[in-house]
Amino acid sequence: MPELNFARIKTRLLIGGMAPKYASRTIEELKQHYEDLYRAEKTSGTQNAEASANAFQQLGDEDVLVQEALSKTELLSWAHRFPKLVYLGAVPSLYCLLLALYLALLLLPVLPFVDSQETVSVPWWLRAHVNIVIYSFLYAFTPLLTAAIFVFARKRGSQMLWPLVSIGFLIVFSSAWWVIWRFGTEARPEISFTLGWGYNFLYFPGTAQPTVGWTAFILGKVTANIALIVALAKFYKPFTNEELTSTS
Amino acid sequence: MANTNPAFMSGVPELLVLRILSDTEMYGYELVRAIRICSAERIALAEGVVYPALHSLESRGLLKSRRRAVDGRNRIYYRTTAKGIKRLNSIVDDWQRISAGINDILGGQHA
Repeated sequence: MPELNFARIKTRLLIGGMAPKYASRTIEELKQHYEDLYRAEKTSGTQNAEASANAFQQLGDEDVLVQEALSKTELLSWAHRFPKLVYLGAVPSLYCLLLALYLALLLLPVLPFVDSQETVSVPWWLRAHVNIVIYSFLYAFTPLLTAAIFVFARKRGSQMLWPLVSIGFLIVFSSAWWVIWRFGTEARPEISFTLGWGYNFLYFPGTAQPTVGWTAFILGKVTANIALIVALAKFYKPFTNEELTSTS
Repeated sequence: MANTNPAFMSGVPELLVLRILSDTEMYGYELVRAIRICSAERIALAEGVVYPALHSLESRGLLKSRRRAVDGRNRIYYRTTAKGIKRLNSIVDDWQRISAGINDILGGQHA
């Protein structure tokens, strides 16, 4: 009987759709079980090689283990069971939630200064805070989120169609964020900032017309984000193509 | 020698596991040994398949687990929950009813 290859079993479980936490725990417990069986064999006087072979045989056949584990649908990941729901429903919901957190992070410290009628200078840390939040949102938020979705899907051996549809939507949608709403006052120009979306994709009456410069800016962001995903696709491969085709 | 027992794959483990773990908490290796001893070696199984069964029962709230360090090793112990006890009672009732019916048939009382 061939020895069990725990790494290969874990790969097969993940590609088969088992949630990573259950796959990791299954392997951890199988290894401990093997050690217990091996010690019991050794205690009874069996030689090393035979003790190991007997222990593996008692653990069971690899195909049976994998088949039995993957037959428990409650142990499969949501992304495997409901890919459309996760990638087309949960991802946009996550985006909205993170956006709300970003806005709260941005606005809460600023509001007292905007409402103030007194002439007080805006502290340096508040200007820094506004700049950090806005620029991290504009430039880091989308790449980080889309990269996280890509890695999440790849780690689970998912079919990449729905993750890529979701990523494509986020890249286009989030890159279109720009000036609609002007926040701040004439009295407090140092904390004025602007937020909004669809400057070039959704034109609202009363706002400035899109310009070639903004279009180039947005297309640049789209291109940069797509380049990131292409690079991840090339270099981040938790499973080989052979594993994906032979164990799925 | 343990081998793959199809019966173990088709629902029997739920009964065995819930029953044995209703008395005391155990980790997987102990549980498999207990099944063997309690069944007087009549139930043999591919021991590795006990873990998906345990995880499945836990995800359904019928078992709970906790990690314990024992002799320098980090073990995962399982125990039947109150919900698991209810489920166990239900399975035992079904099992006894069916086995009584089968025994009647095998004993010739159907004629």
